Amino acid sequence: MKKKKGLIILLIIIALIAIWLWRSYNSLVTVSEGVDNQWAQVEVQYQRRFDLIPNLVEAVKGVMSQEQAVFGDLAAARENYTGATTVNAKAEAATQVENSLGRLLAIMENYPELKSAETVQNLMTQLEGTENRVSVERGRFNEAVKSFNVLIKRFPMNFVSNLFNYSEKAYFQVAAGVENAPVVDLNLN
Amino acid sequence: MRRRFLIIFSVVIFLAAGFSARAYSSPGKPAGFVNDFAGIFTAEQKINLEEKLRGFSASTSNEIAVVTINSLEGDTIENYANKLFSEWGIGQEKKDNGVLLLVSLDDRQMRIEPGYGLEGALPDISCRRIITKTMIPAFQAGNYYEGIDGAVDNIVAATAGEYTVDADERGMATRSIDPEAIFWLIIIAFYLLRALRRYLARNSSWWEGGVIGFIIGLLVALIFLRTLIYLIIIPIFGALFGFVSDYLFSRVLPKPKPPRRGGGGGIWFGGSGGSFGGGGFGGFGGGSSGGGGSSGSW
Repeated sequence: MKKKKGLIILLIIIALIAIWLWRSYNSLVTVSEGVDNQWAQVEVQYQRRFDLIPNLVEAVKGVMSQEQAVFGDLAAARENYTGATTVNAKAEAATQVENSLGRLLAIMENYPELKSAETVQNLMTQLEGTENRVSVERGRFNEAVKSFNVLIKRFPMNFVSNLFNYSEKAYFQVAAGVENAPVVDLNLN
Repeated sequence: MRRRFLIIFSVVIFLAAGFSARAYSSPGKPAGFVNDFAGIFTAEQKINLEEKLRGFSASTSNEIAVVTINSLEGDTIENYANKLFSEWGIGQEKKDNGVLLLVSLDDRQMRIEPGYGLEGALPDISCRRIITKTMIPAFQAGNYYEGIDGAVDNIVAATAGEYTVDADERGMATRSIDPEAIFWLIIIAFYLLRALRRYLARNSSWWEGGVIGFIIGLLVALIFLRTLIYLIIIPIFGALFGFVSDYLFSRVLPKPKPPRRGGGGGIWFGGSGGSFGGGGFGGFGGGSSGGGGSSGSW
């Protein structure tokens, strides 16, 4: 009689562990997909910004005809972005686009007549809106990464993550040097 | 004595576990569509505005929230607006048809932010236009109510044709689960379990616990969770737990303790602070926003 009791309890314990493993693995999958999905949202906003830039360039080119260097940089950065295939390359290219765009906007400050033109104002509004969307989605991406990292690092989930090879994901971090405002070099010859 | 300690310990843990820190500081729960934390409206103005917004929500299901605050306290208006939008969940959950009109008095900044569903009707440029043409002139003259009322009319005009009210949305109160209610449910469940245990211990069969566990698991799963997979797993857990408990109770604890009088109940019913969610406004529909819209300053 005693043997049977012990066996039943052992079976129940094994069943419980199996169910726990099953549910843990599924939660890993769900959260991991959530992070990937959120990154896709960030890329959607990058694309939106990317599509707005030619309009802005067209609107200001006429007035800012001497500033060819900036337009050249911007065009190169956009080509880079289109050519990028992996997630990391895309993120880097997006930062490059961001930097050249920032330089263009800083230089535009020197042309007051541009500020009052309604087309430019509308484009600036759209760009600001897009920049805000990018930072909102990035913020959510970092939240998603945090949830995932916390999930896989906590005990006892860390055993399951190691078992199925789920490793820590990287946060989105601002590239070094971006926090410095672009220096405007006015070539006045 | 030891049992009493365990009870108190588990309750303290439960209470401590629930609270998470926020980066932005919430102004509080919404009292209606108009939330005048800065106190710039007269009572009559507030009522007029609230009526207008309530009627608009009833006829189109779009939720426009007007919020005035005294200060952003160092935060940017974009971040504050987006965080407030997601905290209150403005707009219906499936449609994301909410709009937040936020005014910060000390910072002299305002922002109009539409939810995902209204970004087509209220793109960034339209929001900017409303701010520059309607709000800023009025605000610069000191007429806050006129500016906000005019902006609301603009927003209503822009978003009027977008959505209609679905049959299941009429008269629906919010479904948010009240933490206080859950706390009381757990206390009640604890007492029920204690009574159940005494019953099971006296009983000589060993499978009845499993059946009861299964039924309770099924009920809990049906009430709180709707996913099918949980409907299968939780009752099984309940059954297993019930089996094991009944087995243990029938063999290990043959003599149930006599029921306590007064002493056990004393801890619980003395003062549970805080109040249940106020009546009147049930909250917004749970919509979200992507950070679109536009800001301005005067």
